[in-house]
Amino acid sequence: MSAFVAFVRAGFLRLLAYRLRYVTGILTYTIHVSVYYFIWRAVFAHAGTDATLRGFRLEEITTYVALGWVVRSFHFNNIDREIAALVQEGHITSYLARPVHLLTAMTGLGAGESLFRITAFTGPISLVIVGLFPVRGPEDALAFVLFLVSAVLSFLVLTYLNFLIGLVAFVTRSTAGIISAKNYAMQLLSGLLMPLAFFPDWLREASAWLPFRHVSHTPVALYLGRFDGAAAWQALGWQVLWTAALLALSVGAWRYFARRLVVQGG
Amino acid sequence: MRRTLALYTGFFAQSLKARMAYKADFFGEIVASVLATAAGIVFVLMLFHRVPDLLGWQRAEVFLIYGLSLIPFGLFNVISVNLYEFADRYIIEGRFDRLLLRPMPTLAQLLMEKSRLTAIGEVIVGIVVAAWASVDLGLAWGVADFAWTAVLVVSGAVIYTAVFTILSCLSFFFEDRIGVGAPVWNLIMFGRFPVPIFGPWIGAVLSWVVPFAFVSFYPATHFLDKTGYRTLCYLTPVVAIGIAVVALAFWRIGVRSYRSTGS
Repeated sequence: MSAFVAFVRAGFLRLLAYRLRYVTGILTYTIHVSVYYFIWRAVFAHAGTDATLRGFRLEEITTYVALGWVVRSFHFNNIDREIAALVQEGHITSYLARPVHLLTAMTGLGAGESLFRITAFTGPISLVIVGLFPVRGPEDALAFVLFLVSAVLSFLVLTYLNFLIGLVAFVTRSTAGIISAKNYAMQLLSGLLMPLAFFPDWLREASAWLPFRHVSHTPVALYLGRFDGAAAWQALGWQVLWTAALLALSVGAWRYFARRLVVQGG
Repeated sequence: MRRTLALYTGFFAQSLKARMAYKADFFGEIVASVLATAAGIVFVLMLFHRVPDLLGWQRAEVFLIYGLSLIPFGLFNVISVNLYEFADRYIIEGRFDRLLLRPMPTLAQLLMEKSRLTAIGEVIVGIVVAAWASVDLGLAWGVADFAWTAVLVVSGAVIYTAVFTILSCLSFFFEDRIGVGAPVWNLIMFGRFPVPIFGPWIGAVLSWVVPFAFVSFYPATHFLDKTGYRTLCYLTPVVAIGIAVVALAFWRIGVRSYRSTGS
């Protein structure tokens, strides 16, 4: 546990050097939200802002997309790239010698980064987005609490997915392409760009069996109160199950690859 | 000019040879670049699966603009790698001294020295999407249309390169700790859609400040049955030349005030 805390601290501190980057980060995220806000506003141009499309009013889609980016501003990390670099440069061996699990270290670094992000990035972005775009408040107090819990879980889901993608470096030499393909696929399948309700039916049904929706859709849909009563707890339950499954998968995958690791004598 | 072209061919062949040392890796990255580009297209496809039009812009019209924007974008990505690394690799690490010693324009060397050949994937996706959209629109392409597309592609690549060259010039004067490139980079996204949907303010910025609307949207209206864009459409090469002149002027001022780190 103390090792984990040390990595959290390290993850937090190393971002301090880049704190100015978050100033432009605010601009970047505002641009992203603007692009999708205006596209959705154009979609509603004929029907009117009070119309409902696939169960969403414009205000709800705006909130869905904007809040998705707010959550992303909190949980995003580059653990996939870091692990790939460790493997490619051979430094991964030091994790075989250290008495700390690679997953603990990486989750710790990610958590430290997220702690930093929540203060330096998520806070200001939320203010800018609430100021610029017509987003609505949470359905009720319970919805907001469930949203917060789900947002924290979304960090774990994303971190374990990134961990698994990072391990792909054991299989292929180049990972930049795979990582960027994953990032784009995840933007789409998580519901960051478009509510899942707008997906073609087959993709919406398929996405129910994939972990990606728990990165963005689940916390945001909970905030908007789109689940009736017990369904909200069920959605959160699925997110917990996926978190546990991805954790187990990550531990198993690391054990598998660590055993087969061959490093050229540097 | 001829010598510059010959040198570029040489540099390009060198990059190609270096990349071809790892063939599987190279083709894997092209596939990945195609997939990454396709994700944006899938978003538009899924959107039009549920809605009939965007403020009067039909699916095929949006895809024509989108596809045509990817072709100059891909070409720009092939030559632009060094623009992002300019501050780190050339100013801070002092590599710029080397460019100054060679008997060739420094900006040309910078753009040529390194190529990201895998961005060709974006060009391919762009051609496929634009061709599909133009079939969907029932366009009959004449010689003039192909010629205009060539103008569009070259102008677009010039506009992208000029904008990011101007940003790179900033590193001659101060260390860019903030990274102004990223937000401007994301503005590119606006230029892939019919610009009027973003309202007058963003439209004005994309036309007259960071002219990404001239990369694809305005010139693409040549093919579309829309009124009110004729002048702006054919202004495209003028805008490209204009911003290129501005970028070269900035570059010259930057080079003149360059002080080597001495390392």
